[in-house]
Amino acid sequence: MINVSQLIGQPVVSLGDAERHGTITGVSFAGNRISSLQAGETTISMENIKTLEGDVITFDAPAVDSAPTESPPEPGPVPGEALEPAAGATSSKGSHGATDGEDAAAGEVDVVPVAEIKSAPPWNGDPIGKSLLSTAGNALGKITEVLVEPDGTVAEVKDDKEHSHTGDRLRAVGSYAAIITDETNDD
Amino acid sequence: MTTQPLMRGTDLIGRPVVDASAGEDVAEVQDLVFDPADGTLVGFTLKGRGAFAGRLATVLALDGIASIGTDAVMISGLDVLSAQGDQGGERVTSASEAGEEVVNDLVVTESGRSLGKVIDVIVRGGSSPQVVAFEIDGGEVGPGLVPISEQRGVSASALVVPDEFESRIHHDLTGLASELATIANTAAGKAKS
Repeated sequence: MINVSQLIGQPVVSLGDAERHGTITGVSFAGNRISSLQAGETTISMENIKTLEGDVITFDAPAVDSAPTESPPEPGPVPGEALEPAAGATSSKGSHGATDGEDAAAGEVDVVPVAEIKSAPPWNGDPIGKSLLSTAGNALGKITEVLVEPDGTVAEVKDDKEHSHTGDRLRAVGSYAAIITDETNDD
Repeated sequence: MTTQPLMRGTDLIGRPVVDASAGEDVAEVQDLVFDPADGTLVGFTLKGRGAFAGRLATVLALDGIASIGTDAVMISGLDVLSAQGDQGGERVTSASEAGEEVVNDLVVTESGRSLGKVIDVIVRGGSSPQVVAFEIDGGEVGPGLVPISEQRGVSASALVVPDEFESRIHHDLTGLASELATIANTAAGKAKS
């Protein structure tokens, strides 16, 4: 079993040319499995990694993607598509949302079409310390450790409330939170 | 049976909308939208995340919500978000544009006694969220919580409750939860008989 906290910072070496490619700076997950590791600007797909065990992460080159570590800029307002506030759809209606003054303070309505919301890149980083959220929408704490099998399958997720969640309950790890399938009985 | 959380509508404002399939906070709740015909919650309007983000050209219909929890509104994926005017969000958009209010509705008994105004709604979270009570204040009985099943009628401006309601006003969510459980058990008993 491998602790992800120990994975971060491990040196990375490609087998083809025995070149060092820095150290592990982040981990990406697809469901309850590691999908790739990030070494600086280099993304290494899990299928190219020889092993997660040992003192050095080795992988087969040349299946290495170079990608910027910075996330793409947030989408801004779409020119020509400023949304006119619907008649009557003010914040004083229905319930208790932002006041007209707050809307005015936010400036022009920032219209982000649904299609642009879909373009957020997959997250990679250190999951330790990340918020843990159940699929019911309840905060469970923060991740203190993730244990994975040598093939990258998550075996266990531990939180700062001393609960342990089986790896098969992990649904996703994104920039906001790691999502765990809701259950009433935690270990 | 797991008890679903009760929360005030005002507490939902600003709550993050999280895509459970990606772990991303894609928006936050800007406002609750009610059907003017019966006061039921039909969905949310959304705004972007961040202090300077404005309204999004999307709405979230109630049937697109996977769950409302104490910390987030969960969706199963981005495909449940509807552009305003799209088929999925039509009811939300039209109700929003109608501008009908539940908050500030006058609360009166069947015999005409004014109990104040609606100042908030109480939403039961979970996978089938719904408004279960109104919070009232400004009347002679002071602040309190009215189970929605107690109302005899709702219009665009008033909420009618039985005369004996005054003796059953709850002053906290715990008491309301107990009353709601009693109402549910009574209804289940009647259904069986």
